Amino acid sequence: MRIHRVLLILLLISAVAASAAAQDQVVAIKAGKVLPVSGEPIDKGVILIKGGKIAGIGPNVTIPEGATVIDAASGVAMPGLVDARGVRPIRGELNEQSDEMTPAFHVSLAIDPKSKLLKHNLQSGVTTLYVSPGGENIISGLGAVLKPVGKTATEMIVKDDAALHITMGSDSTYGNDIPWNSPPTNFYYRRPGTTMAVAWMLRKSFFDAQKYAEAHKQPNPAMEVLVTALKGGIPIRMAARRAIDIRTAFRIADEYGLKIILDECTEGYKVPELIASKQTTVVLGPFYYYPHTFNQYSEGRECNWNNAGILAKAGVKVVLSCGADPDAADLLTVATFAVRHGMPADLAIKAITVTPAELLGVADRVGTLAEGKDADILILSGEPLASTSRVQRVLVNGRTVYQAEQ
Amino acid sequence: MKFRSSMALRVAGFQPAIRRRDAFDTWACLLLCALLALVVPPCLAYGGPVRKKIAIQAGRIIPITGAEIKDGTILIDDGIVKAIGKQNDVTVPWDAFVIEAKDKVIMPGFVLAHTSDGLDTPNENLPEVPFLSTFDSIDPPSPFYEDSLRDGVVAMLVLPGNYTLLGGTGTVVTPHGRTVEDMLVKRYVGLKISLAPIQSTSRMGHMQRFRRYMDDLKEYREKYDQRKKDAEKDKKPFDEEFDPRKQSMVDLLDGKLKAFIYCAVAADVPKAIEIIETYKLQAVLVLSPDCYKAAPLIAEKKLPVILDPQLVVWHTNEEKNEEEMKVVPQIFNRAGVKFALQTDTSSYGRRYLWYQAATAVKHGMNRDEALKSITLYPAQFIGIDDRFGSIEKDKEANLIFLTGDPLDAQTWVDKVMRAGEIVYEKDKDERLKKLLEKPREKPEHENTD
Amino acid sequence: MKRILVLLLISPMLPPASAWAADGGQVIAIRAGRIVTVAGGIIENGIVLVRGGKIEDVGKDLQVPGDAQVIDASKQTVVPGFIDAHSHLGLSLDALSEIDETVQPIAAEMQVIDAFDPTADALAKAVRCGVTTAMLAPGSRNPVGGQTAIVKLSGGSPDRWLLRQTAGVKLSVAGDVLMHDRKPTSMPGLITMLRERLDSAKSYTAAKFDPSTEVLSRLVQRAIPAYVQAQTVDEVSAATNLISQYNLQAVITGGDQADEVVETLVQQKVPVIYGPLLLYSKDKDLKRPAKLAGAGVKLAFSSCSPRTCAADIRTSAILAVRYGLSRDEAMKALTLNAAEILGVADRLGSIQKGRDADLVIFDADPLDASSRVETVIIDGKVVYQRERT
Repeated sequence: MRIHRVLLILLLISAVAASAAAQDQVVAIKAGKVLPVSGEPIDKGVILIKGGKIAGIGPNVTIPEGATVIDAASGVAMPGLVDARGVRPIRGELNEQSDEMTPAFHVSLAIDPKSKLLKHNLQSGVTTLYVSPGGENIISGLGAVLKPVGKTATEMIVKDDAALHITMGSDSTYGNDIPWNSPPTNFYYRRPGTTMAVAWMLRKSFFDAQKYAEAHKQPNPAMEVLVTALKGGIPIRMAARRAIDIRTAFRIADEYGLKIILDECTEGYKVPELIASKQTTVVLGPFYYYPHTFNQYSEGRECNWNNAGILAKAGVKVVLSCGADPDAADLLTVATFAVRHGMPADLAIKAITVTPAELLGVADRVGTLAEGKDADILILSGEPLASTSRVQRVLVNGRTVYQAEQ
Repeated sequence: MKFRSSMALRVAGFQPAIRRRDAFDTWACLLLCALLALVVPPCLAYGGPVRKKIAIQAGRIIPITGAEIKDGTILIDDGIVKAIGKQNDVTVPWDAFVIEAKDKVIMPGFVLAHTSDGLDTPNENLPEVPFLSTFDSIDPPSPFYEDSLRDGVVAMLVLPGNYTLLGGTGTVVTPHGRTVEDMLVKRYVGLKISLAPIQSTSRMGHMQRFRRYMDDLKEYREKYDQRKKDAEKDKKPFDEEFDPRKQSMVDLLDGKLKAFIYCAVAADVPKAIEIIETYKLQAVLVLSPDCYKAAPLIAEKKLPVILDPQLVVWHTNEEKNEEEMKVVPQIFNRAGVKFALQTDTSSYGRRYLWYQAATAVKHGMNRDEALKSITLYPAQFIGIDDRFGSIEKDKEANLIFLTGDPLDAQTWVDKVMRAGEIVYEKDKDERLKKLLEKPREKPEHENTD
Repeated sequence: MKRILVLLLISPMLPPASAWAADGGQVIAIRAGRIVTVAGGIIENGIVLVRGGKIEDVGKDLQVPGDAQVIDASKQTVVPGFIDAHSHLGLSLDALSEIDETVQPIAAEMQVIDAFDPTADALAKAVRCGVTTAMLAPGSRNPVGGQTAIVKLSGGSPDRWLLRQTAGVKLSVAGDVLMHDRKPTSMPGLITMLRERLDSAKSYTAAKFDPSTEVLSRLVQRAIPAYVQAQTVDEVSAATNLISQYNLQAVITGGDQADEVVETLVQQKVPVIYGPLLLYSKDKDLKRPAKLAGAGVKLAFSSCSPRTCAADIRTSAILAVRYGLSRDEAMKALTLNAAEILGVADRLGSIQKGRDADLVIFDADPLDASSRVETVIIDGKVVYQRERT
């Protein structure tokens, strides 16, 4: 009897120990080369992971007994990529077409944890992505930072309502006229039809928000968001392709004392000093040789292949992204070609890791390999900026979430 | 009339007798002109003098057929490769023009086995137009050709588009020249057939249309031959011309033209095979991304194929409800199928043949095979491998000078040589400079409002 | 015996229930080989006594009154009439396009009963498969589709078949709601719209009468339940978020992938009207109802008729049993659970004293795919008798 009791106690202890061990699961990655990004590359480095965080990193890290060892002796380990305007795993479309100004549109409500695009993101090495609203409304709403793993949207989201999006230029004019054979009550029959009206409507929204801030009877969620933006309480991302739209963006921002981030910025190479003088970070992407235009206004037709390099040289903080386009080149290819066309290699690597992490306000957790940070790690078969390197394995929070077929 | 000077006198035609000194001057002038006429025109040719003998001293040579050569020499005479080997093993003639390329990698220029770019419109309205030729619609100033040359393509087969049943015949061109004649490598290469049922309402209708055309053609031929025979028998003159609109299809049936058959989905592949076997055609399949599913069948029939520019396809596994990544070149390579690669000019990466080859290598393909699929194999598929696709003795010198390894993303095409002549130099590429450099400063206005 | 023959001969020719005008006279005694009471276990070789449209008694060795019409089902099984817990049966001439008033996305004031045709053929078909009651609902293309109703499939006058005119409100967070040229065009737009409407419903006063908001105010006060269409994981999560945010009494309809977020459903005590399962459904999907029930979710089945057939609730049950659901749970899903979810368990869903006499006689176990419906009784009257040929 006593023996049975002892055995039972032993079983219980081992069960508890096992579950504790599972939570403190130790993983060690032995890589041919480690690129922490926050420091010099480490040859034959080891990354130790405990409880989903990086517990140690260096050439001489001791690997404890019982740790799961991932052998990447011929591979390169680097931080999981951060896509500041990623390919979106969402359901339905991301433009609430019933209105041009939808500041209280929450992208997080559209996240689909079963989207096929989640695997695309992981396979291309992206472990943190920012999901932006669509670009067809002038003020399109609030984006969210998420990791592409989780059973529900709540599990995936790292930071909700992370930035407010505004689109300059003529994207929002698309479809704003009476379609042929349609009644005039069609809700697309409305302003704006021109870029002038886009700027006017944006100014009017900020103006109304200021009035609202002074006095209002009923609370209005859309206005609340704009008031927060006006006070600098939420980052503002303005998408502008043409140089004239970039200037308009800065003009309006200056009128309201706003600090902005520029998205797309296809013609940024024409006004690099202006952008640098405003200390604006730019998020470039998507990248095409003959820029995509979906409307008749043929925006961004002029392009310079070395947009990223020219901006970086002028002192602008450059982030490279996929521009939310699933058909565009993946993030590593984007960075590879940015270097080919003239961007310094170290800045290009930063542009897909630490710089977007800082932009999104999650640099305390992701973007570099350092003790205490999330174990979001990308293992490649070779150098990151080589077109012959393959994504071998991706870890998020210390767990392997993608592994290439052998 | 009064003449004031001897010059005026001469001008008026009243010449006194030519003095001896003047005669000497004239002969001297004439001789000088003759000498200049021999020497100057070649110097004015684009890209520099056309040399008869050239020796390239290269840091690295990738011949494609045969092992790579470090520190090698290529001898060229009259546009043809005469020798290739290690520097010490090749004697450079005293009168050869030496091109120093110690920091460069020399390899055969890329060959694109199929494209419909660079035409005004790739598809005709009517479905059965095999008598058309892309020779008549190639647009030399098209940026597509300029970009292709810049990217190291020395020969490309321009065929009609993917959406005409019998689209017409193709033309092999070098993407360099002001006119089609300047660009021409070989005319009347390949006949494009499409199995995509765009111009019919269904695949059934599309296949029937094709069969009916072939049956009508057979009947026409038989009747024509009969009439000819009858005329000969009756010893009557026979001057009825064979319908020129049908000639290319006859040449296809007689094996003088190769069929390039576009398969829009995997289910089109068995149909293509049926056509090839029924009519005993020489053929190459032009595949859409979906056709990876037919790889085993293609391997069994040993058909050469040209892959779609999209090399990675995502497939939803319905049973597991998972997304699976299919790497098309890997699938065909493992099945033992020989393929050539295509490009997509708007897309970063896929625009370059070397990138397409690099993608195949990334996913496990042997490097040498991958390089062959952008040089030798496409040259073979389009029937120009006697001149293009590898660096070998007695082959034309159609080469590219690269700043580094062909599969390295930081490598640029430094020079392109076509039959011994330099036709592209990156240093002189003004448009590329404009695309990579910051535009000239324009004065910034203070108040833009 | 003679009476039974007469019944057999004339009942197929009669419109249901019309000949049986008089209540409370007719006594029926069913001698059954097997009685599945659902609430009180299975009785072998028992008797069900029916009087005045209600179940007078059920058990072994009951006294059968002399004037009782005796139905010999001694080799057969009696079960409570099946309840199709979410259906579009008999609505607008079975035209699918008519079950969604899509001109206005919030159509709370629409009543589905207004589109119901009690003489529709579809009802007779459903009855032949053993379905005796259905909850009618508007479609799933509006965020708020309208008011649901509960009806018996007996035909005749409304006081016979209309159980509830407003059983609850149909909501939908399924992707079907999104349209290109009508608000909302996006998921966030949809959720925001619902939140705004529910917010204004919370502050609704009768002084500012608005028919639509009035109905929604009953919803937020938990006076009536919400039936929320949600199929994929993100839709179910969106639904449960709304349910908890506004403290609604709610049921999920559809629920295709609900088992993947079952913890929330169990925690919030949200039942699921599942379905339907179809013969071509994948194994992975066929296991889902068992997972839901196993985790403690109250499960019923829906046919979404006429998109599928009303009989598909039985097919769903049979398939679910094959893929892990217990037979007891399957029977409950078709009967008592559905009744409890719909709030009519005091009358329907089980064979016990005092309940409505809505009974179905099968020639074998109803969870056996090849067994046939012999007789259907609604409110104590035979409304269907299988013709033997």
